[in-house]
Amino acid sequence: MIRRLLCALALGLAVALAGCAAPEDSRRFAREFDPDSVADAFSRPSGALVLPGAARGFQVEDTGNLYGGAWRVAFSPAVDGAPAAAPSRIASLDRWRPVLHWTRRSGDVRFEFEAVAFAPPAPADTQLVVSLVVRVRNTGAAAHDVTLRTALEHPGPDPIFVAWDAPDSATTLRWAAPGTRDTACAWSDQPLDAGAAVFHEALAPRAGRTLRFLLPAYPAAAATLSGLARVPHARRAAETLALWDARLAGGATFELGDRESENALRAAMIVLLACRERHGGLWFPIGGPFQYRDVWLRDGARLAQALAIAGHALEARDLAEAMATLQWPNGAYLTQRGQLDGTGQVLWTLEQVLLRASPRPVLGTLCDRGLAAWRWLEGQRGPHVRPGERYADMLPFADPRDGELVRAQLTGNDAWAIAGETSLARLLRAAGRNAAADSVKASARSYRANFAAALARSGGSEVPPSWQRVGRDWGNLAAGWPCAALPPGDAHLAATARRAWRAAGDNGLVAYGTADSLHAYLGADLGTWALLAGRPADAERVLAALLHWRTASGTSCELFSPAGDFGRNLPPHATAAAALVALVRNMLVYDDADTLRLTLGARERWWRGAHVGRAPTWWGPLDVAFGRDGDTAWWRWTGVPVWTALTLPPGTRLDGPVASPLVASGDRVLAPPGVCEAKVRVVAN
Amino acid sequence: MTHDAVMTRKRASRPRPAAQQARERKPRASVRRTNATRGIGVAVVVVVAAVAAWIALGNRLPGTAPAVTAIGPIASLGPRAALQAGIDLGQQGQSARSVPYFRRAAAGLPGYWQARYDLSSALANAAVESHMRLGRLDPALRSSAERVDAIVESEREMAVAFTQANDPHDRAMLLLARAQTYLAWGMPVDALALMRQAHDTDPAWDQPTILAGQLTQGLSLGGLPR
Repeated sequence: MIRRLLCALALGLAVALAGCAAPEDSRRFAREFDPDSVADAFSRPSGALVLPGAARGFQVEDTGNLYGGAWRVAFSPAVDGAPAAAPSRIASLDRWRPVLHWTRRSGDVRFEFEAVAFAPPAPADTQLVVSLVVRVRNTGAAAHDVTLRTALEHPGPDPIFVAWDAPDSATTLRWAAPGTRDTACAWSDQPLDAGAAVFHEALAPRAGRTLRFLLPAYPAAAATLSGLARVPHARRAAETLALWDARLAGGATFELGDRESENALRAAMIVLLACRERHGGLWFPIGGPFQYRDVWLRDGARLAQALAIAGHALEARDLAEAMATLQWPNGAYLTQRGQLDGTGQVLWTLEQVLLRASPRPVLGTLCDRGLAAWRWLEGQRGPHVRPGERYADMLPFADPRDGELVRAQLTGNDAWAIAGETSLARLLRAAGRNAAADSVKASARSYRANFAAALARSGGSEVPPSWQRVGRDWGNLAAGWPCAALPPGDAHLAATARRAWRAAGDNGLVAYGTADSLHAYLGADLGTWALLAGRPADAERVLAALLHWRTASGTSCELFSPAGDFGRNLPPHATAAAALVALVRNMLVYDDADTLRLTLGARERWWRGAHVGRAPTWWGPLDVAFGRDGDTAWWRWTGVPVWTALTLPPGTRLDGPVASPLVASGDRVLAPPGVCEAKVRVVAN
Repeated sequence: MTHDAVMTRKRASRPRPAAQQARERKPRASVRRTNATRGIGVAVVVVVAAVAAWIALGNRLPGTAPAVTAIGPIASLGPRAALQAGIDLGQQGQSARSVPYFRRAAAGLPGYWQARYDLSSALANAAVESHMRLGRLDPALRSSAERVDAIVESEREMAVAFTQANDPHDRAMLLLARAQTYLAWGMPVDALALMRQAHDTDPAWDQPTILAGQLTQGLSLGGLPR
């Protein structure tokens, strides 16, 4: 009891100290910063103005125009008749705060854009409005003739995305005009001329002007827009920043002494929270706010799980419960043709989300749905179902038109089915349905054995994309983690990872199909597998790649060339964000086992002193602080009813025996259940 | 993540887009097509279309008006007119728009299994229908959530039609139509089971057996071409 009290006291102190290093005051935003100074890994800039629940969002294009899927807001700045250049960056302060900045220049004149998305008051709660200002500044010593013409345009041929509810033919594009009752697509404080808002002025040296725009994602009444414009832009920005600060504060805290990682996590969390859409009373995950505005179970699973392990339990639970409704009458979960991994993914999501929730929700109906899914999975395979087939004990062929891009029996489908059955057994056990749990657990065990046998039968050294050994890497890369279809030490997993990493140039990512298509999140599962296989340096390389390949607003996309061209595959992508969150969390707190594992892959810089707060685990919310002071590594954490494995700082080993009740085990220290602090002496390897 | 569309289930008299591709996803990703089961899918569609033609022509509802050229508000239509309006929209490839008309028809003709079948088909087709908006072909229904809802309702209507259809051949045809849906969505084992049920229901009809044989072969090859 005394030990637990001391632990709590120590943790409280750690939290208080960590609070001193809390994120910057959002008022800092008011200060100017140069968006072009923010790093961007991609070859052209892009930004997203999005909100949770909004049915449309705006992309800030590389031209500096805004496009929302139904019309484009085109800005044409010019100085002395010369057009200003397109922006080189579309950036957020600290590479995560959800107010976008970009600058366009022509000679001495700068056009500084700042935009923020906000939700108008209910009941238009799927609406999104962008508040945008342009600060026009003449930095030179001579006057200049400055214009900014802002026009509304139709999407043009071959748009990358179109809003699902855009009209079949073009919308009537109209600016809000005083005294009219028409709906409008934009509002400006600048005069209207020939269908455009036009600023035109001879700008004296050192002079500046600020222009204001309101851009709704859906046409809105002119009077409504005028009313919204009464709130100054600065207040909109400040309110938005405060709102997001509050949203993020509701989740787990990651204070790592590593601003790059911390800010990347914040940017990823914003993407995850924003990639949710409401249908009726349910919240569904979407793949992205633009071209991927739909539900893919393979993406939704990652999104919900990442939110859950990052402490956004309610949001994750909403998503998991919505996904559970996407069940076919035969028990399968399928939202896209031929993607048979969906059933396993939904079962896995339910377990990952609901069993970490505190308090735990009622599981009855979900268990029933889960059992129907399990019966479907088991009804697909076996010699009695498909006699004479070489891989009859695996799922039948599928043609996902995605991922593996082949019609064959896909190993990833089986890996996910195994994960799903394993998860369902845990769900059933948690619901007290022990007989059903035993049955499902036995079938998962048998499935796993069949998987290993099929792998042996296939004759290769790797986990191939399909049992027929055709197709592209996809679900097979998830076989080690999260699917655990094979133990981490299995040689097939190591061979698969080695080959996949090498094909992409050993840069921490993997290639999709060909070496000139890098994939942002496909290989991220290999990072957690590497942690479990005792290869933290490989995991570190994966994390470094995920941190590198981000836009100036901190988001990532799906596919891109080694030169950073993402083509039409616009950022942000929800699964790329989820991959980053999951890997960082697993490096710090890993609970997908019967042992809590801490600092499994903590980076060197995190050992200067780090704290993770309110991280949901199977055993309840967990706080952990750790660090290294000279030759001493230390941990303090919320005690759990299972053993805790503590991984030593990178490049160190134990220097002498550990004090009881701790137990040394290679590069780890084991702490018995209930213990909540440890301190050991380490020495460089 | 790629949206794509599938062979639609429909009455013989309706024009059928061969395939509806909705969204491209991967740059440089060339989709490799194989023929083993595509042939089966096409064959199933042909059979179902033939059976649907039999329904549409041989079992035409007495007193059904010829095709309407202008579709009025649903509430103002009687069930037969609603049925015909739904058929007309289906013929124009607008399955999603036809659904409310078929719902009205099914509600107004409670004992008429063909109306249930039409509604079921419209729902199944709507789930894979594409729609051109502002120069881009996207799914007609907003999201996967609505598409799964459409499939669930389609299956429910098909179950009602099955209980109402007395003739073994009608019932076999309904089973084969369901097989088509499952095959099109990529669930060959479910499709195979339904084909076998169709055979058991009407042993004199050889199409289910032929198709089941082809599908079994496709399964044995793991989906690869022969």
